[in-house]
Amino acid sequence: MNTFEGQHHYEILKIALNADVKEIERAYREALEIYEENSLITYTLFSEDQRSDLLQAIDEAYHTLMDAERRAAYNQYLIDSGVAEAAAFQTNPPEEAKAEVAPAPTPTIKVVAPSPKHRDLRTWVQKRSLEEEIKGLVAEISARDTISGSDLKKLRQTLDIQLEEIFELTRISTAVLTAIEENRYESLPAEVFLKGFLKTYAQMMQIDPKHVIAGYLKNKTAATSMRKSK
Amino acid sequence: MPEILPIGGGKGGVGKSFVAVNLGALIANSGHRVVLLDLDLGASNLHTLLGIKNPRGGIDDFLSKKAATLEKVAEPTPIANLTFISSLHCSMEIANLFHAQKVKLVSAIKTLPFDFIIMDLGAGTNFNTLDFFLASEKGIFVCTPEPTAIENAFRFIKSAYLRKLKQIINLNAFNKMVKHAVLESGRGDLGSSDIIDIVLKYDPGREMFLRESISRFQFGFIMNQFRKNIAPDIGEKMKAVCNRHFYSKFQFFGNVAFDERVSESVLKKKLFALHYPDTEAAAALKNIAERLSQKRSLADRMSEVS
Repeated sequence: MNTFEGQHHYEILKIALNADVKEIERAYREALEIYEENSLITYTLFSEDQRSDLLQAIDEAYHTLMDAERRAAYNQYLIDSGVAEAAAFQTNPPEEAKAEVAPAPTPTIKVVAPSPKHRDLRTWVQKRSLEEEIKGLVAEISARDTISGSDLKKLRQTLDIQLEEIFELTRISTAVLTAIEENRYESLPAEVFLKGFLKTYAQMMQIDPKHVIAGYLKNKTAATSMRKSK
Repeated sequence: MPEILPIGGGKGGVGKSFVAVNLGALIANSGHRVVLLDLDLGASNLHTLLGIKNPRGGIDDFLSKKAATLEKVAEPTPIANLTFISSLHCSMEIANLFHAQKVKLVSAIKTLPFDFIIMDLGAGTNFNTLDFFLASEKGIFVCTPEPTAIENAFRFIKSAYLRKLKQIINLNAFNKMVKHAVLESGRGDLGSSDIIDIVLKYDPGREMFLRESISRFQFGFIMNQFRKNIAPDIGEKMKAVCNRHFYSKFQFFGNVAFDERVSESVLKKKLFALHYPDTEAAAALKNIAERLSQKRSLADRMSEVS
């Protein structure tokens, strides 16, 4: 059985890249109806862990796409990683006949201010990163050629940040974050997504994302080829 | 080549035999030669649904070599074009067939000279039942819209899917490490995604082959004893979710309405679909029988062309 691994938010909710808020709402309700714990449709089909991963992915997709700012950033990320063309996110031009009757409504973009909790985490990291202990640790990791998940975990713990807080801010599921930190490569998403997650995670901890991505992938390649040759 | 339709479903009492016998009769009624096999070894009663009181030796005669071929133990039924093979006389221990007997039986079933071979399977997910189910590239399972039946149906699907994956690994040229990890590890908790992971790890070049092989397998399902107070699209939704999470193909054949006259027809020893053709349940069964036999006619036409 396969879960949602490697699928992006639109695929998870089974909607078009230019789906409007109404469609996202409908798709979300439908997904919950199918995957929620007491659904007859999938009764005992998944293990508890599988189901909670699926539900978390659905929630993550829904919350990202319902927030105009986060959705725009996510779309840009899909464009940058070559998953989709920019044009695919455009809303369909109204048919001519309809346009004569009523002008196309201009989409209202709702910009949601980050919640105080989120702002706190950013300031918190900013403040802590001036401390000698953090500076030293960042320098130590930055000097390394290969970076392990445990380096990132150590930095995070020294910064006093919980995985749940990172999830709140970045919507990267704690399951993915844990897999990154524990070097469980087989549980990680496809590389395009992994790069995106590493970038966000590194930015959050204010350590050079490019170096983290390169170092982490190098470590991963080395470990994977070692396993293969065994 | 005959069209082989195994009918399983995990839970007892969901109507596997009812569906098998009625589909068999309806397909036979449209002019195809159909044989019904009672493979609910140890709990046979398909003959009763057909109105046959004392079935002949059936599968027991074939396995004990009293009859030279499986075809010879088939007997006519009150319905034209519909033939029956019983397992009533199989000994009490027959539910645990020896491997060699099972192989012999499955290969004999596959070459029976009929247009349609419908197998009524027992409840549960024992290896015999699963192997009969996997004798064809397409299997049908029956369930009812209740948590207990759906739970057993999913267990049945997952068991059949897992066994099919193992069969593919066993019968094809995967390397020693894969074969060892999948077939000889003795791990009881080895799941279907573990098998795909093992292939990815030790024989990554064959992963596509594995996926393609398992995707050729088709599950069809029927929602029986459907009552009015249940959302009618549950079957379609189950189909969609299964297609999303398994590599095999799933199709939904429809809801068969609950009808009190079903038990009445069993008491009267009349075949429901033929005796009450105007009921909603009979119409649904007829529709399913047509879908199943249309595919057959199409396949025939295709083979004539080529």
